[in-house]
Amino acid sequence: MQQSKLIAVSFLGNKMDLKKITIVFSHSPYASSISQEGLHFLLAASIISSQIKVIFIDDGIWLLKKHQEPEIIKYKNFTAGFSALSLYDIQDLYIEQASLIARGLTIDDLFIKPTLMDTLNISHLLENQDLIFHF
Amino acid sequence: MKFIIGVYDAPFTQQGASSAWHFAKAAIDKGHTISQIFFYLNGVYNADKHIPSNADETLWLSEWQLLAEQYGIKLTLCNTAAERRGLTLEQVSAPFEIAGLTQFLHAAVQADRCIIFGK
Repeated sequence: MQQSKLIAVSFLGNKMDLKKITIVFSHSPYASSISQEGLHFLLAASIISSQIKVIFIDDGIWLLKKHQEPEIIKYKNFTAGFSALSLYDIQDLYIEQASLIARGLTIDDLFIKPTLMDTLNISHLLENQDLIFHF
Repeated sequence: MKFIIGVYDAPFTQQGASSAWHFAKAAIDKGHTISQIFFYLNGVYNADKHIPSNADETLWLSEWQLLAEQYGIKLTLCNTAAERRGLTLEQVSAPFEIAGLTQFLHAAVQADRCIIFGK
């Protein structure tokens, strides 16, 4: 028990825990590869930091829309990866409320439930980050 | 200050790559350090030796090579992004080095500032 605890601690040490990283998604899923590559980037970032936050704004909220059928246009549904983020220990997910309202969606239209946040609080959150990557 | 720069744009189609080059040059001139320039997404095309040179236009590949040589800056290229775009190892010009995202992120957390150009 004690040994496994020690291993966990040293692993976290390697993760450079002190650095706060936020990944922002603001693009729709299939119009370009940016979101798909952003998801890949996010998973890589989870290897080096345990303080990762993810924000969905603007068209980025479409990434989380339920009932996507990209197979019809011969695309793979990579967005399923967002529902597996907890496996990578990524728990802090936020969505901008105004972006949701502007697109006529509610949180029930999404297949995961990030914390709703207003624009001002999102900017406060971003101010406190060490590194921000935007996709 | 120690900077790390990310280049996400291809050299011909968007301005991001040239803006990154100018930023790097300006930062060095002001006495800052560039620890690494990482080429990601369409930015990997900056390393493509097949991009032809036109007499009256800047060939950004040569500019990156000169910058790296002159100031000892490491130029790295994301292996996954390159592979996705069909950019093979044979196509990648020296002194660009193949790297992974985690290597870039490790360098990014150690720098004072990480600046990204393009998307």
